[in-house]
Amino acid sequence: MVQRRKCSGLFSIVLFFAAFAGQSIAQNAQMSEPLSPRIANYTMDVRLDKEKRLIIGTETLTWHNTTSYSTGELQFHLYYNAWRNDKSSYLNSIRSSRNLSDYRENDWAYCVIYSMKILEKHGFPETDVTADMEFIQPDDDNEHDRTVMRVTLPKPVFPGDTISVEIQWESKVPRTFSRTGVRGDYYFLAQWFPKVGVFEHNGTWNCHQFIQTEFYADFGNYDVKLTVPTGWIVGATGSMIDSTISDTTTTHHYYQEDVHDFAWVTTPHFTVHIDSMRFEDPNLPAVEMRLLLMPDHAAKKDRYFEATEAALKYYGEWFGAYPYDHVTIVDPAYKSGSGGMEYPTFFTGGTRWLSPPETRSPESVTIHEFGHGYWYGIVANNEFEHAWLDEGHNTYSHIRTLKEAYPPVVLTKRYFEGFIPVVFSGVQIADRLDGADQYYGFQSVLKRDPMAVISWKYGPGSYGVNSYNKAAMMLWTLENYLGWETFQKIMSTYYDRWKFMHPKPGSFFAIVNEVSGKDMSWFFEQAYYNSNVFDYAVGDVRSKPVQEPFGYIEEEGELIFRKGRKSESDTTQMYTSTVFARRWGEAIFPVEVKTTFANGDTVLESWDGKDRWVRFDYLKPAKVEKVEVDPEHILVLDINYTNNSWVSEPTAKAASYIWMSKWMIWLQSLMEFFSFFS
Amino acid sequence: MEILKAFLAGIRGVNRSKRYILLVYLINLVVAIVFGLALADVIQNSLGSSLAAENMAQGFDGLWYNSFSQQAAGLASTFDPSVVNIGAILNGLDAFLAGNLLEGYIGIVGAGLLYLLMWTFFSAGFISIYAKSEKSPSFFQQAARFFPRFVILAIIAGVLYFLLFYFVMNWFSDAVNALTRETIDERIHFVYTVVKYAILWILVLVVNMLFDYSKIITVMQDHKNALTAPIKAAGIVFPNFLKTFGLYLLIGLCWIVLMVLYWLYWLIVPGAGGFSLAAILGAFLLGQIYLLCRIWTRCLFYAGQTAMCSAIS
Repeated sequence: MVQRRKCSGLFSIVLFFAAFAGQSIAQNAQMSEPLSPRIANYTMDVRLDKEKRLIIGTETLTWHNTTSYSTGELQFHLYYNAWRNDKSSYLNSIRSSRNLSDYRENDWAYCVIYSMKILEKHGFPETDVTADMEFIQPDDDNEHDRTVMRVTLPKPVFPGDTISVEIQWESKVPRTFSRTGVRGDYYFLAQWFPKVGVFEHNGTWNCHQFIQTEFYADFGNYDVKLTVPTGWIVGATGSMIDSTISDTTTTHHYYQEDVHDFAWVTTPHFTVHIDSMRFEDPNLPAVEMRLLLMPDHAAKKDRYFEATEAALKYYGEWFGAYPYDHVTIVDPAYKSGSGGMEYPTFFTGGTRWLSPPETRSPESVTIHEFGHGYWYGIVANNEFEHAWLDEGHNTYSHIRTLKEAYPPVVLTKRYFEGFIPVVFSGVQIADRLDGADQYYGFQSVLKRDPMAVISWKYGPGSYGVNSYNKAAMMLWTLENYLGWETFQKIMSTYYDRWKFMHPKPGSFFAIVNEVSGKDMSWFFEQAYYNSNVFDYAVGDVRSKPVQEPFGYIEEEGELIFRKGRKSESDTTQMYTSTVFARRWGEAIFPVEVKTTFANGDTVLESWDGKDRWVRFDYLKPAKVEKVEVDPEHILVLDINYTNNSWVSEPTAKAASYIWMSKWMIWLQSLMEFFSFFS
Repeated sequence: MEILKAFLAGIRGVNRSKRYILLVYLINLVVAIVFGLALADVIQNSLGSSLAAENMAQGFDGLWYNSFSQQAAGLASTFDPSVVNIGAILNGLDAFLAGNLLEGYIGIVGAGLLYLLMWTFFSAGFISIYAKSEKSPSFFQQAARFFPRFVILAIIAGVLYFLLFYFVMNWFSDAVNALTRETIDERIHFVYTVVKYAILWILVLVVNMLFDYSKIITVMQDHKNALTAPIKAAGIVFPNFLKTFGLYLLIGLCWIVLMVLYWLYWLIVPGAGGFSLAAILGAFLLGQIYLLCRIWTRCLFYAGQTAMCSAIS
């Protein structure tokens, strides 16, 4: 069922003619000015066999060697082989906690290439290279892992040359292990086809096994025909050029230029909704949004669109224009395991049947996954090796967007096996980037991997903390330190300079230094290359009244006897105060120390944060009332912000009794539930 | 009509036991205060002299709480901001319905089990009052006299509850999982889950009712053999199932209405969840009134069912 929202009759006519124009666009890959190097270009014709859960396809890969090195082989990812059996590196990985006992024969997957042939083009003779394929394990020598395949070529592909390869293959669609699979009659297909790896400019193949990370591929054009049962709705990377109905199937023809992946979804259950985002900023072109919505989430339609609009607006204003004229939003099916994931011009959100706005579901995941269209989709870092470059940048960007577009986050909790949400609107909780206090990975006495460790080599507990939260907080700290104006310029320069390319961490650091005009290597040395933590705190604080001498003192040449202390009620009483600030963590960052006195005076000191402690002395007509280290919370990487403040009249006792009174009701009620069984 | 008569007789009966209801409530309160003070001490130490303490005194400090909860162990790990307002009831209700009361911090579970034992002891005293025996000895004498038999009944009932929550529940859950293996609409899974809990809890309530009558018969007829009391109770309950279960559900409805009223307070009263002194005291007092009413309702089960037992037999 298709419902058109904000889609005028004139627009429909335009679409009608565009369908014909699209055919010629598909035929000529150079129709539009290339945005990317277009190294790996695919033409595919695939059919979904829903009875057997198979994708049967033919793909033609046209691959350009844009490096200055020759290669005598091509390497391919065959991701679905990660779920071929439980001996794969993926299922044996340290991050895998999948319970396999529920998986039946039909639930496992594979990707089998039946034939591979070099086409007679670009100076290559037609050659069957099927027998020259072999599986390799470049990362862990696990002979059972079949996620990387190498094919030896009859002759090298020289620098600047092109080769076209025709592959006939079959992929068995899994019951979702990770991100892709089938549930009922809902199919989400990602990493589903033989995908060529990246031949780097140093002459080596970058084609990692699929173990615990995400993906990396070159840009190119995708021209894909998808044959599915008639009546099944299809969504995919790119725009639909045309569709052809024959007997019981329909072939949907999709085309997209300048992307590095192609994913698609099909089910008969979607409703389709169209909206268009137009910006006030003339530098931001209009974007058509296509939402594929499941029936139990019908009430979330507007929320999906509003979240995508917020992301388009803020990412566009802050970083640069979204370069495509369309985006497809997929509302994933319940328990399909395909939610919260990004693909070029196409992403999956995710929500629940009952999901009040305060839960930020689907808003948060929608903004995040759209945002990956920027960080990963357009600025295409190697997710195998530097996952933080997209996850960290995008977590920072998406949280910033939420702060701009939505109210502060409040506590929500789900009851009754997670079906029923309850909002506690009076409890405002910490946002994801508010501080490092909330991430156990930082507080563990065991050293975590530094962020600089290659992502697929991270040890237990490091991937999530490093790739997402620490990376995002590193950027947030930079924004606080350098100021938003400078940092926004850094991010937009990074986007502009590295779009449709493959940046590395050094690429970003160089832009930070260049645009800010400062050498920030001292910061990256600690936050990125090291696993030391930041922890500044208030130390001792003392205020004592200045005392009159007791005994004889000399005044104007005469000895005068003084009787001792002044009364504290004396309004001329002065106080000497000493404030210590401490560095408990090993990492160093300059911080401010703000001291507030009982008479309202404040003093703001700057400390370079290098020594283990610093001392400030004051002579004031009032005692110290409050001390704050890093009062503006610039250093969100500080692992314990609670110890950054001190007050002379603590209210901890009152606070503890207040919360005790609330907690007691819970305990009393819980005991009464026990009494039911008496 | 008999259901209503027994219900009203139950109310009159409960009102004869007010001071013992108050006693149970005070025990409940004292136990909670003891644990509460221990928790307050931990929270106070964690907050120290920081500004986070001011935030917690006026609302909530999410950053402090996240840091605290990451490192909390034992009693401190039970502290959760969702205990505010209706959350204080919902958290326990969720565990109760799923049969998960024994999961969690061992100290709290221990307190709950001791509280259960206390109720086992006192219930004979309550039933004696509701049975209106003119020659009945004192509340505590009756409680002590029947305690050994009631413990045996509690053990038998405990075995049945265990079978229901750990075998029948798991079987139902497996069945729901199998039925919804390919479901892509959450509403369908929700309906199956509601049906699962409805069937399970009808069985649980029937067992609960049966053992209430077992206790009532033990007291009213001074039935000596605790092992055969449930059989005798079944002889009353099942031939008159519409009356007995009808009464049970009517009293259960009171329990539900009570909870809904408590929830409505938080939804409707402006500033109810605030941190002013009036709001905090108001919240605490309301909570205590609610708990007192719950204990009263628990006694109403005994009182009403005692009246029904008298009417039937």
